Amino acid sequence: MANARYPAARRAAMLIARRLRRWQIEPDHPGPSNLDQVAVLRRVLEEAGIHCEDSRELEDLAAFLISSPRGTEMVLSARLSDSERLLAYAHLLAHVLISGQRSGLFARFEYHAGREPTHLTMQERREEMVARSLARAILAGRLEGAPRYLYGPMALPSPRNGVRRAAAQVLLVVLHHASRALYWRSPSYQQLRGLPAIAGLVTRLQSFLGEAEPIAA
Amino acid sequence: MADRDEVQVARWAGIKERVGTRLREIRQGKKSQARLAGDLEELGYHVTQSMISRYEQGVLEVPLSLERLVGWALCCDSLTSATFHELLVLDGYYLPWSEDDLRAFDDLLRHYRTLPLVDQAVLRRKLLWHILGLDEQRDG
Repeated sequence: MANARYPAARRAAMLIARRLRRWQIEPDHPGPSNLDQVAVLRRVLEEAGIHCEDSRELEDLAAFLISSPRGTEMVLSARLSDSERLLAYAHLLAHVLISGQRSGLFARFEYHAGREPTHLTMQERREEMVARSLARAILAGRLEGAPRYLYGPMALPSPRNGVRRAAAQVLLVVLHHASRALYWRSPSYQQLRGLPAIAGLVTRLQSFLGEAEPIAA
Repeated sequence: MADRDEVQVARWAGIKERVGTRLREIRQGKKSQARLAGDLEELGYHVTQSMISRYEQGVLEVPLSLERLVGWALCCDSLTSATFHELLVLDGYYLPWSEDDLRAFDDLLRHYRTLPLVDQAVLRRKLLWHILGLDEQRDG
């Protein structure tokens, strides 16, 4: 069963990060309000085919995501502030990204502060941690502050472009896999990887090894 | 029963007791029949408490539709992916879920049951439409 939510989420994450980054680096721009940013996130998500809606009925849940072959939707509590909405959208989007190519029914819950369940499994805690980190990278407009394989396509080395290029691709694949594995296990690495200097260094290394920027659309 | 086929009636007659037993098992006394009728009403079904009782006893002649069966199952506190699958198979439907999907459904139910009832109701409505593969009628 094809999983359409993953490429859609990948595209949305890249577009959102790009848009937010552009806002941040424009010297004349007064800086977008949280309301502006929420509008951007919601529009990009909708354009990527992720339906977004508000619910006045939610109590403990701040938001939830539900996805199936029928489609993907995010439902947010109407009581959330703009900054909370921003986080909720980014966090749910991050969850879709880290779910990868998992197909079928998929759901994630966001709780209001203090209402989080205490019964999460180790895997769920880890996913939560990674999703928070990835959401921060999306909202900072710096997706490169997270391992490429969490949001970009996996490249397969091909000898068609020559042995040296194929060797560089093999090295890139190994580095990406290692980075992702470390990111899953280590909060320290998540922080380190998110630092602009480290992200810049990684981008330069990728560029040196001949990797193209992921394409958003 | 003029609007139902003889074959359909015969088929339902053959499975109604087993379906009823399964439905009773997944409700398992944690939720009253009245409460279940209320939950079903919220989902958009009109199934009275008396109908629930008769379905569970396997005495109601009206076949339970796929839509009702799925909605009913989602309202029950002891539903698991295995019983859901079994119930649908019993009723002649195929659930196209992999092992991973079944596990994900159990995880979903585990979290869902810790939520307040109002949150459960919102989620259940969404879940129902996703499982049935339908587009929800949205206001506006």
